[in-house]
Amino acid sequence: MSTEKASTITLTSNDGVSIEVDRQVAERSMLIKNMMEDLGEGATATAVPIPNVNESVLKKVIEWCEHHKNDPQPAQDDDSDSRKKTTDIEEWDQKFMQVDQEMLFEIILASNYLDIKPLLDVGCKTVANMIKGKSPEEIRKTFNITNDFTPEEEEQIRRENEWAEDR
Amino acid sequence: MAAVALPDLPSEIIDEISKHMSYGSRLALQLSCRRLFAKTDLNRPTYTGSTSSPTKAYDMADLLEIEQWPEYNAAKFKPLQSRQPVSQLDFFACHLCLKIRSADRFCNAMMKGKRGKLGKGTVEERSKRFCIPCGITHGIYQRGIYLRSGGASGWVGMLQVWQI
Repeated sequence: MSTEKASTITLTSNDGVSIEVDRQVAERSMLIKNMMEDLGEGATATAVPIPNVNESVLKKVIEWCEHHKNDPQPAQDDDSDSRKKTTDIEEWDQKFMQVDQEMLFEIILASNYLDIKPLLDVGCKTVANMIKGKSPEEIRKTFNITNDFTPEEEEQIRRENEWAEDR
Repeated sequence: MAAVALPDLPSEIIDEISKHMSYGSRLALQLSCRRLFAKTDLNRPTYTGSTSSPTKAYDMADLLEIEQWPEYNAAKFKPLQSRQPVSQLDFFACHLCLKIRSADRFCNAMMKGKRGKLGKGTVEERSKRFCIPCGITHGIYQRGIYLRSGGASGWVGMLQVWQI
């Protein structure tokens, strides 16, 4: 490569599809950003395999990165409260997350693997909002979960909570 | 590839989701199935704001959330004219002992209107609710007074407080 800084990177999904992405967009992923920094400019000539993510999920993640490419990068050690105080999600992200549950979980897993903290955050907030205020049975219905506790076990777990009175 | 479901997510992700939820919601998630029980940390600190209780992982606001679950709120699913709370079917939170207790532990006035569960009371108003044993212990219900209790079976529920 003769150029000072290549403007695109090719990513390959785990089902073998190559997608060309602006480098600035791809570098919303801290995994890719660090990889590029470590490997130097020559690395942009080869496709980067993304082994844990399939094409449809990767495209969705890239769509998010595209929209958010000009956002300020989060600080490295960003477990401070500020970014997570609320479960408010900006409107574009809310629409973006209107997908079926499987896609939602896949996006969360992909953003975790690719280390895209703000997207991981939006995904987790979306799931938290679906859980909020629901009883265990209502959560099971929402997420199609089978209750594998026996009634006795469930009763015992409830009783063990500090707020439960002996009845 | 098999479809990913909520219980399949690794515990670090469940933990990340839990950070955005109240104690009550974390508890509900934990009780939904074995795998989520194992992956949810009920007492983790969250970003939704700290509890107002210095000693407990939950506070009255959490209990007001939990008491709304259908299993503690039978009256909500009955016709309007028969919504009086029933012992062991309806449960209420007490802000003094910070427990959720059966309807027979509360005087009727605590279970209706602003301090009830089905009315228009705010969290602040409902947070003033307390049970009969706490009322006695804290000297709010004084010797010799009559309380109407027992909800739906209130006609047997006249209670005269003698204990100090």
